[in-house]
Amino acid sequence: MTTLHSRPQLSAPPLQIEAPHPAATSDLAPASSAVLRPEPSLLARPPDPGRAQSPSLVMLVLIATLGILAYANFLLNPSNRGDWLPYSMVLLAESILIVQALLSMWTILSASRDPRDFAFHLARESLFRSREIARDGFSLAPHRWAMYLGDAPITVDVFITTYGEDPAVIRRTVTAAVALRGAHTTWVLDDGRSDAVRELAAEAGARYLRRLSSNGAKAGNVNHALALSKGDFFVIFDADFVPDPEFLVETVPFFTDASVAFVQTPQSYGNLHTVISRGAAYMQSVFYRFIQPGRNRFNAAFCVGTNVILRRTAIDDVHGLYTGSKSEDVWTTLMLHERGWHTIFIPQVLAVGAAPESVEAYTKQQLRWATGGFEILFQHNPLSFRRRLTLDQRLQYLVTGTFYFTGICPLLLLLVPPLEIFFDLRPMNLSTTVFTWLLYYAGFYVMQILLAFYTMGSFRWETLMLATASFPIYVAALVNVLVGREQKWSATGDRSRASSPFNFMIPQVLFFVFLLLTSVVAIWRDVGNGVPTLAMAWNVTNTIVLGSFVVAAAREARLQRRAGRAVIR
Amino acid sequence: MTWQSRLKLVVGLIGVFVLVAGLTLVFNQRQAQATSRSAAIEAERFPVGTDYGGTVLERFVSENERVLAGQPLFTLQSASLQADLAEGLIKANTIAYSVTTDGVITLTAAVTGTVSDITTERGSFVQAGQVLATVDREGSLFVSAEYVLSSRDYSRIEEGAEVDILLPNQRMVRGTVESLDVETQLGQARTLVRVTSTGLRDGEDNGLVARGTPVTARLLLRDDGILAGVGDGFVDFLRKIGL
Repeated sequence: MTTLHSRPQLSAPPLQIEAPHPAATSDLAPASSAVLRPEPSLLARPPDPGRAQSPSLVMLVLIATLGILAYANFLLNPSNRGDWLPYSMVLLAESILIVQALLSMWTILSASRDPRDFAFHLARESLFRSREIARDGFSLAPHRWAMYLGDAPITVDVFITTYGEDPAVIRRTVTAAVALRGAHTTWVLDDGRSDAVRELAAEAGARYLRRLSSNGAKAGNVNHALALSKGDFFVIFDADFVPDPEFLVETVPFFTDASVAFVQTPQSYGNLHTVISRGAAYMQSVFYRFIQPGRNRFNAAFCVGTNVILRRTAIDDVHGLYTGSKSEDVWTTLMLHERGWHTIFIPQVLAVGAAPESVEAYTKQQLRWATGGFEILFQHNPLSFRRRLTLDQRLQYLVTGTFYFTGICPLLLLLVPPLEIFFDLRPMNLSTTVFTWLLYYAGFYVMQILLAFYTMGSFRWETLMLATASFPIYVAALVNVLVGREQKWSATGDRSRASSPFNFMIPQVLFFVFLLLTSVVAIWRDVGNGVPTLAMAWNVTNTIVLGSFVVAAAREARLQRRAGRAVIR
Repeated sequence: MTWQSRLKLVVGLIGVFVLVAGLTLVFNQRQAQATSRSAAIEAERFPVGTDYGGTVLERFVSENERVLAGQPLFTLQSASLQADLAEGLIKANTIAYSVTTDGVITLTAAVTGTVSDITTERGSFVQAGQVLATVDREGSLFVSAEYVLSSRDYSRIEEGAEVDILLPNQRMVRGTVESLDVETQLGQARTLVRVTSTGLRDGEDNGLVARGTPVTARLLLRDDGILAGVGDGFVDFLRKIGL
């Protein structure tokens, strides 16, 4: 390996000459400290994307594709068509789901190329200059090792954006950020204007920045910091994402390619103790382990606003982070792609954070993401001739823009059994037996679940529950984008005290009551007729699924009340 | 929860309850009726036939012509009739025909109605026993409707039950069940119902009300659900306030 380097100071890679750091010995060491243990499956360095495409996965994807096509054929067969209203509802919803499933399987199969090329490994080996480190006596202070790309020294700023989070959480993040290997300046960008945060930043050895206005939310906060700092590269961490010490070592070498605008790493979650956070985290890990690596291949991997390192000149090129949207991350990526920049995602967990635990946090997060997606579709159509994007990128942005329609589909599907119960309107022809339907339906959904099981090693019912119960959020996002208004919550403005989850899920509660009453009517009808019907079975299942969401929220509310009482005492 | 959210929740809950109550009434209404799988207007039909083979001398009427009882329809000349007359085996006049001594028989309409299905022409030979035309009796229109019912629904058909007959032009005519004919296939009662109605008058609605016109017939079943009284009361209420 060393023979590849002509520079004398690199006779031995610094990674091996001194070992103050347990994780410094090799690439393959577990990339996380013991304090923050995320899901075990995410802990180890994930399989190389090149190797993730096992022949079995390819086979499963092919079988799942066949299942999807058979199901589509079954739905579209005119002889199976039932009454037009429920039929068109089912057709619309299932078409969206089917198309998105096919596109995401295509993306997953595309993830067969490791973004780390020869230039990356070369740059990684020559990142630190051991002789210089020894000369300056920094051997035991890896956070002060100067970094070089090629022959040029580089400077890095690490931004931690905060907005009223718990100071203990911020302290953990800041401490870890300061300790990153490689010389860098850590900044705490406090939009929460908290003196406690200022003190803890000073203690941890980070700079503290507070601005007078809070224009542009997080993007505005970072842009403000960019005006005051001058590093060649800057990293963004949300207040609750604790970085791994190797973060810079694993990401900075990519910038040896001058067209790379940013390197994004996954969001991984350590807090899987509520139903909401488990469901949300599972959804996320599919995205980060399979979709984003696939998007690499399309040069359409996007920034998610945290755990990312960006090139200052690239961001200057697009006039700072995009402030016109709450989803500044996706929009900034789109602007970069239109300017011809390359973006990279590596499926290697380098920071562990917190998934939304409460209904409130989950709702706000999903609303923000869905709004960003719909904004791209309706305000910046990626298929328009005015966009300077490649076909690959256009397709991937179309997927992004339409993805959250899949979240609205459950609404249509939930309404189909009540239509049959109350109005005797059936989506499918009467001559289609339950077993025929079940066979085709299983061909689609069971294969999707099997695929998820194979790729993720497990399947969480919480994800299914959240996917069913989240449609009001996505409908709200769609309506907000179409009429151009901002979502207002009738919640208390007091951010120190959590507000009840039920403030954010009135539609879900009402829908649950509706389904419950409908189930009662359906059972009464079936008892009268002496024949159980599929509509009744479906409706009861939907009621239970939605009910479990309401129960989870009720449990959360009870814990909140208990915590509230404890504070008062 | 904030008070605003509580208010929204309560109003929403009331809305959901009202909605489900309304939908349940609709559902119950549907449960108390059966829609025909196939239904058409029919008429009493009187065939015009002859007992003697012979040659048609004259045809006095054409298809779909209205005839009065006793109006001549055809004249035939028949050798065997002549022979029978000579033997004195046959009377000269009945309601259906009149006979002259030279062996010419005049077939007349037995009832007032409309001529249809003429099978013969002037100059052609007809066999003994052949039907030459049919007269659909005026004022005899009824609906023959076929239903496929579960045994439970079949048991809820009542004598003289009301039937809503929907003509192809969306006009609704009231009728009542006159008779039933049932046959069971795979546990389902295939029921043929004869519905009479005073509202079906020949040739109305530009000739739409005629034999063979397809209609939809909705049969009202006896409502024995727990919501029977509520549903009827609600419908009565709507009628009373003029909806």
